[in-house]
Amino acid sequence: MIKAIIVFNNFGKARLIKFYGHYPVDRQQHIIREVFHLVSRRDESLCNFLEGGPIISDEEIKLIYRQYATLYFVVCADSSESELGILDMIQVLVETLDKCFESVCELDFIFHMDKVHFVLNELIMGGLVLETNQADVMAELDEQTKVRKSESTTTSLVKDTLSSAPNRAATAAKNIKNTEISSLPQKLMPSLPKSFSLRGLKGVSS
Amino acid sequence: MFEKTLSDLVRGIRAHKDNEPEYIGECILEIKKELKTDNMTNKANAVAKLTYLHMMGYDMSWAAFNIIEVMSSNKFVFKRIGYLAASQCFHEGIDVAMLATNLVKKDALSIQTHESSIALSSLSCFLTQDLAMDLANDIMALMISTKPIIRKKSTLAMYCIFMKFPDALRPAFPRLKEKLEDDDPGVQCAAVNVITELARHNPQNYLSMAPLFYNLMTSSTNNWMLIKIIKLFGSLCPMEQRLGKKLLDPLTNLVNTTSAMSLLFECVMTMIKGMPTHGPSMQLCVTKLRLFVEDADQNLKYLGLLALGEIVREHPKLIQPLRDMIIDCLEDRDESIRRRALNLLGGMVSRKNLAEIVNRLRQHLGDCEGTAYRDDIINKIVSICSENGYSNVTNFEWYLTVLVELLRVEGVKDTGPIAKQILDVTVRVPDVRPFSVKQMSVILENTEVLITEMSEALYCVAYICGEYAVYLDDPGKTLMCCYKQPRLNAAPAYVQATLIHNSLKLYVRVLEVAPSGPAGDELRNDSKTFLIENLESSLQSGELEVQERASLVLQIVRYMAKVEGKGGSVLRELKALIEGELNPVAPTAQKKVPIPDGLDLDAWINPPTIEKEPEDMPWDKILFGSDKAYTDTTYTASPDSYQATEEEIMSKKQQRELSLAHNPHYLKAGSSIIGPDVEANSIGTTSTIDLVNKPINLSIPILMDNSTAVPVEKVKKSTKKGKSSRKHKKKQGESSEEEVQPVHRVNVALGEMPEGANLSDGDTKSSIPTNNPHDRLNINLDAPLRDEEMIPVRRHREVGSVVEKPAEVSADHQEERKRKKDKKRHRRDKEADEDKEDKKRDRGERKKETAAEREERKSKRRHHKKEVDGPDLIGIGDGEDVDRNQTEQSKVKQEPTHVSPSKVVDSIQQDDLDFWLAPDASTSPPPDTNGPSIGASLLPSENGTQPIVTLEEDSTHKKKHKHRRDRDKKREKHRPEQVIESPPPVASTTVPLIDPTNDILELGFLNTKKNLQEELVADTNLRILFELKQNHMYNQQVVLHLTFCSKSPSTLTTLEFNIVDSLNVQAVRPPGVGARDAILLPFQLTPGNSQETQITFNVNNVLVPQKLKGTLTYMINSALGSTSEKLDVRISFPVSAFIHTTNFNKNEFMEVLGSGELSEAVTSQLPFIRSTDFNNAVTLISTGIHVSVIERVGTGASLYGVTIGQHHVCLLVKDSLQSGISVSVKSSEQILSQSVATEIAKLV
Repeated sequence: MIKAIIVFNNFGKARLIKFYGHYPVDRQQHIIREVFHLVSRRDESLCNFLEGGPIISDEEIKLIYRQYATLYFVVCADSSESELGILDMIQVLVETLDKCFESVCELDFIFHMDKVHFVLNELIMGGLVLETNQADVMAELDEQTKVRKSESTTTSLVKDTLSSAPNRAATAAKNIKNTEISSLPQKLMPSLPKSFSLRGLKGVSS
Repeated sequence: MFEKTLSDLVRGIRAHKDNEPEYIGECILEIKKELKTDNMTNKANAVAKLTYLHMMGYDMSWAAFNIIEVMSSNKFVFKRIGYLAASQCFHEGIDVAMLATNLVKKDALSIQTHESSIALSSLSCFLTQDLAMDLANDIMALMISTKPIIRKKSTLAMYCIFMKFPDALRPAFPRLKEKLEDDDPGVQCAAVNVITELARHNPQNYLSMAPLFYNLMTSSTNNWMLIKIIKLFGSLCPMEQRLGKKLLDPLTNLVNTTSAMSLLFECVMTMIKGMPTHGPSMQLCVTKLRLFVEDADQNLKYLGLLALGEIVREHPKLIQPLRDMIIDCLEDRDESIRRRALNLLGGMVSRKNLAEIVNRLRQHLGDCEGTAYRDDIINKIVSICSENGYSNVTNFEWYLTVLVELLRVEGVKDTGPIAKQILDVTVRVPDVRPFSVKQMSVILENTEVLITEMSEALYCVAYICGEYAVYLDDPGKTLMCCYKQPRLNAAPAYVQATLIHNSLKLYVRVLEVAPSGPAGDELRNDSKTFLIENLESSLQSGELEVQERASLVLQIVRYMAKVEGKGGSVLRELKALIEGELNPVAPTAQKKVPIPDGLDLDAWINPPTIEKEPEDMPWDKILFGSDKAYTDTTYTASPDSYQATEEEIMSKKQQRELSLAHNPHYLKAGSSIIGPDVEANSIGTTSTIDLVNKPINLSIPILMDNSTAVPVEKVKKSTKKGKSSRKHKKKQGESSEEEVQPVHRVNVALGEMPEGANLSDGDTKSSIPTNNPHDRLNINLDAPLRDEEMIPVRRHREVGSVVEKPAEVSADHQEERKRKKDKKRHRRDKEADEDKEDKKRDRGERKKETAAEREERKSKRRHHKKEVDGPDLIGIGDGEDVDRNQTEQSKVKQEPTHVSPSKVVDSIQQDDLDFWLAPDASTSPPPDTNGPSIGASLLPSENGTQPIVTLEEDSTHKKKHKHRRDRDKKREKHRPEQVIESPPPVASTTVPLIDPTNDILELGFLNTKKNLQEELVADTNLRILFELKQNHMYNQQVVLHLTFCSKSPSTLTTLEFNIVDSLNVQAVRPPGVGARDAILLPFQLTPGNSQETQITFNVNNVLVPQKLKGTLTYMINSALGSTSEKLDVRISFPVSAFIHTTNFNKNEFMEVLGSGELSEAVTSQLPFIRSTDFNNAVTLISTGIHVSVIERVGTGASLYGVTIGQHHVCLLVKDSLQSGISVSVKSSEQILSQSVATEIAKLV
């Protein structure tokens, strides 16, 4: 089964962590560091598998990773997972994210971590691969989005009271800010490259 | 107040790069405030922020209660945030998780798919044991949800539940199994996923499911699922040899056809695991893997090497051609690939190529980077050479040279393994000792140049030089070198101590070889002065161990000088001090020290006393390793002056155990074997050098005796027998001096064992209770569920909602049966009505009888219901029918003995698998005796004209089944018309309808020579022959063909057959004839003539043999007048009368077997006393029971038939030479299996 999925950038900053099993926070951070240490020194032309050793638990685990632009997607799995299968799964994950965010970039991971999690939840559950068919995953996500949208319209009607007015104003203000961020990522975060499509940089190899 | 959103937080963190922790601290304070507000938006926002911070390493479990609040929001947006947070941080240790139980339950069971969906996803991450227990039942209920996504998620969630709450596995397993056949491929895949994961840890429990997965594998095209199934087979194969064979074809097929590399790879891996001995398939694997390794894609290269590593264990030869390719991989830039190649090389080593491979590795060692990787290479060299007791090394001088050179390699962190190897080789290979000693003395003279990392190497060098000083050319020079080591004082104490101790040995050697005369005196004097000087400085050492050794040696040397000054010599005594051969000690020796009589290991002895120390302790164990532990223990060196308190001893003991645990030289002996007193003693006195000083303790006395007392020739003689098997072993008793043989021999004997050790007793590992859920999931899944085995249900709930799957199925069956029954009842009622109208000349009781009959039918229905409910209800049911069954069975001599249900199931599962795993018949087509496969049925037509022939051309059983059913339905529909149109149940013809042999053939009967019509009954006037056939047009009907032969000179008229229907068998009477009325046969029998007729019977229970009673009345019309005669008739219907052959092919047969339906098996032995051979037996059975031979291989044959009630009947006939021929019958009903077995027994 899959023990953990970790996404971090070139500098080892975690962008998404999902552990299928309980580890205290500091242990999690330790694992992330170890994994980053192992993965980051490998250049792109090397194979995508690493023998992780007992990083996560006593069991020997494999690190199956893939680099997309500035982000590393690392899956820590035990021997019951197919290496190439997991690579495909990572690809499916990224492609799905790409669709959800319309050319996803690291910023999406930063500002919409929850959304990324929701996508991941439809792919993997409790360490087992749930669905690998992108269409099915998208359908399920669309379903959720629909519910969310229908809720937000009703919410605004319900919340139309004096007490909540300041809040609404605040949210509105923030919404404006939000759009600024996503449309002009390079201004806010000059350290990051321009918004890029993950797909274009590295295609499916297997 | 304006709260920060998640985006604000992120931006804030980026803006405060310098003081991030402070900023986050502020934010957390804010979050805490937000969580206190009543506004759900704020709370959700706060929780979202916390989740983000959690990712950065800030604990959020303190907010667990607030997270639950957010989870309980009725807005999906918030709920989702709450569940996300919960999945990230909830765990077993958080109490509030208990609070969430109801909430999670509510959400999971929500009719809103999305709510249920997120709850399930999240649940799988934070499931605790309590939650698992509480929710197991609900999640299980979700597995039959109408929405595929929920089914899928709940199936996967069940895995998490099993992990936390293993008791749920058995009750839930039937449903999980059911999901394998779900309509939705995703659900199927999920179920496969779960079972694969379960089976990986306990494969033996899932072996019986192999046929099911086999079918899935051969039918599915979903690569994801195929990969998992193939993985599953990979874990099942080692459990069952035959499975590998079975999988050979489909896997080979997949390997050759698939374009998906991932699938190809898994197939190859499973083939390697499943059929490692099958040469051709391994060759195929190697061919495929070669393509992998040669591929430009690094991933494939890696995987190829990984898989080759598996093959190399079994077939090193197959890999040989790839050697160069693999060696090239050592140069790869990728460390993952290099390591794999290194691993692979280790497996390829043989005597011939060892030197070459080692040289390549050494060369590689010079080029490569990374200390860890270098260490790996060195370890690899050491391990491939020392493998199997150095079986691959032919020249140990070469090996030693290699090792010595390895000591010099720059940048090697740990020379320990090399040093140990040198020591080991020198000790085990006596022939190489002179060479070794010379090498070591050279090293000792030039340590600075030759050794990069000194300590470990110095230890072994010093030891070898001292111990084998006899081989030294110039011991004096070597002795000097001992103390000239640079940085000696910085070396670890144990190294220094060893050096000092061995300098004594060297000194003795110097005295020994020094020539007499002034030159010798000078040498002796020089050595003495040198030694005393250096020892005195060593006395200043801060290390106790070194001090002690130094003072001991110093005193000895001084004493010698004193004695020699007086003109005496103690050389002989001194030699005795260090004399004695050291032998390797078996790794298990310490464990096997027998407990001396009168030693109570449980009694705590305090203070420890030296006197009680058993002499035969295998102390010398530690001589061959660097035991760092003992430096710690020397502080309690003199137990007389120091009395340890109990606590101290305990803590020492713990400390020692700890250090032992890390010491590879110690086996972790269970405390039950090594008594506390022994351990306590060893605390005080164990130290290598002490022991060396006491030669008597060096070895186990009995073995010492062996080597000294028994003449060498004798030893050799006594070991001659075992020599061929132990080519390279050196007899322990032989001393090195005698061992001058050209070929180096290695002492790889078990090693020394303590006196009285029981060699045969197993070195059983102590069974440590683990918390591993998989151990607790090791449950037999095939045994039927017991009543009490249910997933606990919280609160008061309706029992109906927890109905398990089997019950549902049986309920369905029940429904179906009921419907059928109803229809039948309908029909019969109609008949009865007709009866009423037509026959008004009824006897007085007629009405009563009809009522009684109905009553009877009702009870029959009841009985049937019971039967369907489960086999356990049979036999305790009411009704005469059951009683009859029982009495009938008890009549049978070979009644199978009653076995407890679980046993039965076990054997059944085994048999099922045996059936399925029986060798392929593709090579041997079904024998010709099988009979034609087209089942045809002839319906008698009223006026004996054109018989209606139905050819059932459909090859598959299913179609046939359907076909029949359709017909059945039609028949039911058109019942009224059919009264006229369809052939009447009773018909007569003056000529036989068809040639009986023909008919027989079509039914699959084989023996045409035998007269199939048997005598039913006969008297002076009449002889009746009968034959039973099945009505292929209608299920559940058999046709009784009767031939009446007149023996009377008169004409017989008014033949009336009065048959008493039983619950299970009823005659189908012509319209207008009541159930209790006699059937008037529509013919007369003129003298010498014969007439045929047939009567159709409806059979309701085809599982057991049936019997009917009846009477035949007829009138004899002679010239004298008419007389009436009566004849009692008994018609018995054996089970075989209800079974007919089908044109099953092997695959369909496998499908049936694999479906798991055939759960009831009965095996009986046929004691063939007659000289019937196996083939005859098979023919006999197939003829007698009307089953066709599906395949016959060697001494086994599988046969198959189907009852008219559509029960499959599978037979496996096996010929075992000792016990005769055994037949196991398998069907879906226990009773049926039993009946068939009984009948087979009768046949024979």
